[in-house]
Amino acid sequence: MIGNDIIDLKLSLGKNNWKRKGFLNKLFSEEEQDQILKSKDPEFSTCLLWAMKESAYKAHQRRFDLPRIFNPKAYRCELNGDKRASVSGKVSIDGNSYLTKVSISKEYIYCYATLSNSTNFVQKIYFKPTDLKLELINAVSKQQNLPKEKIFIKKTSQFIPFLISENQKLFCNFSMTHHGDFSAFIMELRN
Amino acid sequence: MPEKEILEKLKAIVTPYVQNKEGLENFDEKTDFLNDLKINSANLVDVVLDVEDEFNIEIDTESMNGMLTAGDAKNIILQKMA
Repeated sequence: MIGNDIIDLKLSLGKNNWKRKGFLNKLFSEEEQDQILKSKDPEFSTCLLWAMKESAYKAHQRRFDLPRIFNPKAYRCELNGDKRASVSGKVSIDGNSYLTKVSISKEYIYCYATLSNSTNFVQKIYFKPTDLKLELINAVSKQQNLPKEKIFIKKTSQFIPFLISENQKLFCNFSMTHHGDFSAFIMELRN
Repeated sequence: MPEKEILEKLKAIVTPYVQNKEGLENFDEKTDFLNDLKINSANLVDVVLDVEDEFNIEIDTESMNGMLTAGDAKNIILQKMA
């Protein structure tokens, strides 16, 4: 299972929102809040931890076909090391854990979450406004050797997107994200 | 406070975060913050905080977990103001 999230740092999570009373407390555990407030750049750290939670949420929701719930605080982040260009970590929820990898540039933070290190996937990040659904369909079409005109994206009753072609659901785990000018998809490949 | 007034106030609160303005035209209890209004999930917390300020209530974690539609928000507000 797989999930991803991108944050346009121009927009951040609302500039200076981390300073708003109650904001961090609604989203983060005490340890996470402490980590954010002690960091050199609390705005950036807020975005980083949020991207980890959001991508783990998507992977978790897809894995168990869960109804939507806005429970960011239940997702607990752990970071390994502290390199600015890429950060790996782990997010835990209800006894499950997801591995997260974050890539960082001046403009964006991009994170994906997988169940294990051996998960194979393809992903693509777009740096200008893009028809992401079309890009995903093109990628699936190539991967599964299906005509792209016959692939459609629909949503389950739990609002989880899935792919369908000629009335058949495709076994393909994927996640899409967009924020500001940026967007990205990630698609799991079967081994 | 009449329910209609709560919904009007809610509409005003969510408007700055709405990415699909058409979704506001038929704003009612069924309006889904994420699917109909395309509010970014990170902005949901702004909505929660704005609701707290506007109605002078505190929305606990459990209530926040289920605040996905205008109707959910209205019910939480009514319950907290009671």
